[in-house]
Parts: sequence; structure tokens; C-alpha cells
Amino acid sequence: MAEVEQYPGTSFNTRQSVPKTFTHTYITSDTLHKVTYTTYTTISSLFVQPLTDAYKRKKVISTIFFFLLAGLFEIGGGYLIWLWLRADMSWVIGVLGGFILFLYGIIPTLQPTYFHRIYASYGGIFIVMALLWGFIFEKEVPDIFDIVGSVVAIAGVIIIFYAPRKGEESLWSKQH
Amino acid sequence: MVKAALIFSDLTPFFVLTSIALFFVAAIAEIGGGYMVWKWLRERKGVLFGILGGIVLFVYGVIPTFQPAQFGRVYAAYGGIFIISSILWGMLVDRKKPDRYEVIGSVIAVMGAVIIFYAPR
Repeated sequence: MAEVEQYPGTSFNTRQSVPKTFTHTYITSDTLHKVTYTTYTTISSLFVQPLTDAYKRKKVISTIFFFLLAGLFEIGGGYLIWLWLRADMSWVIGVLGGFILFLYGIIPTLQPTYFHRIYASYGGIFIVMALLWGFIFEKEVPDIFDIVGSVVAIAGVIIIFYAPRKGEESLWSKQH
Repeated sequence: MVKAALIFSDLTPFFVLTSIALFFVAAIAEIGGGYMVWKWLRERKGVLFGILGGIVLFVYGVIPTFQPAQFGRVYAAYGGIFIISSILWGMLVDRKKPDRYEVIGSVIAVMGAVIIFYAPR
């Protein structure tokens, strides 16, 4: 890090703000700031930056992201309601599940095409996510038919959602 | 062994019919709720639609708790039912004829669900 570098969000130079009289190492607000900043930049350059870059580049990637996010919200919200009614947990969990399902309903509105096309494609994604869910949480190992069926379903999704149409904005071109 | 025996003993016509009926009800609630939220946010039809959509989606979340079937492959079949329902919803409610890619792709995706559900094991 350069000598005179200023951390974003501060109006002061953090290097100069350390009092010269310090002889012991304390956890000062300055060190805390540095640690927070380094952690933030590391995490964002590793995980967040590639995602936002990809999002800026092509719509294909953001649409895949929204499909997966919708799947997570649907299964998560449904699971919380299941916990409320079948595992006798607090109604607060049920309400939270309902709210997550409401958020799940919002995600497809961020997708760039017709309602029925988004939902039909999501059905195909759901097939694969249901098998994955069974594999992770119920220990149901997918067999060869599950895998072949998933690949066929995804092929269907690609045709429904990602086939370029005349007179429609392509999902495969760069965004302006 | 016991679990497998239970699953097979459950596959009575009543079980299968209840299961399929519940999946269709679930699909209608899920797509209907999503459609109302869509009306609110994409077609600016007022927040009342959004609230109603939220309630319908909550009801959708309750339906699977009555579902006798609880394993991944049955839910994969639900994916197939969901695809057909979405296309039908577009035709009946939105009056949008599916284009050729939607028809071909849906048939292929449903075939995937059929492979998963009906494969001889």
C-alpha cells in the first residue's frame, strides 16, 4: 500500500492520524479500519467484482443468477413454512417464510422477457434444484437417469429462454 | 428397507391422485401469486396486486405441507407440471401464443422430467 493512500470513505489520511507517541501496539481505530478495509477489498475482488463485471457484460449471466436466486428463495421460504406447520416451530418462522416467498415472486420481474417464458424456464431449473436439494439434505444420490433427465431439462430451458429470436433484444450481446 | 417398503406401499392410486392434484393446485397458486406480483411491478397495476400476490404465494407455501410425497424425484415431476402450467397460463390469461422455441423447449424439458420420474429402476 502506498504511503499517502487514503482509504475510501475517510476524509483523513489514516497513516498520519496515528499518534507518534505510541510505543505499544494497541488495537486502535486505525488498525481496525485497515483490517476492515483489507477484508473488504479482498472479499469484493474475489467474489463480488467478478459477479458485477459479468453482470455488466452480458444479460445471460444475470438471468442465470436470477433463476438460481429464485430457486433458493422458493425452497428456503417453503422450508420455513414447513418448519412452522410440520415441525411445530414458532409462527414467526412461518411469517418469515411467507415474506421470503413474496421476495421470490419479485425476482422474476427482474428478468428481461415475457411472464410465461420466464416461468416455463424456471420449471426446468426447478427440476435440477429439486434433485440437488434431495441430494444435499435427504441424501438421495442421483442415478444416471436423474442426470440424463436433468441434462435434457436444461437443454429444454436453453431452447425456451436463450434461443435468439428475431425482433427481440438478444441476451447474448453486450449490454449498452 | 423399512423406508423403501413404506414408499412403495404409499404408491396407491389414491396417493398418486392426491399427489398430482396437490401439485396442480400448487402450480396454479405459485404462478398466480407470481403473476400478481408481476402485475404490480411490471405493469404498474397498483400495490394491491402485490399484496394479494404475496398472500397467494404464502398459501402456496402451505400447500406442500399436505403433500404426501416428500422426495426429490417427485418434486422433479412437479417441475414438469409447472412448465406445462406456465405455458397454459400464458395462453389462457395473457393470451400469448407460445412461439416455436417455447413449445419445442417445453416438450424437451418435460421429457427430462418424465425420464427422471418414469425411468425403470
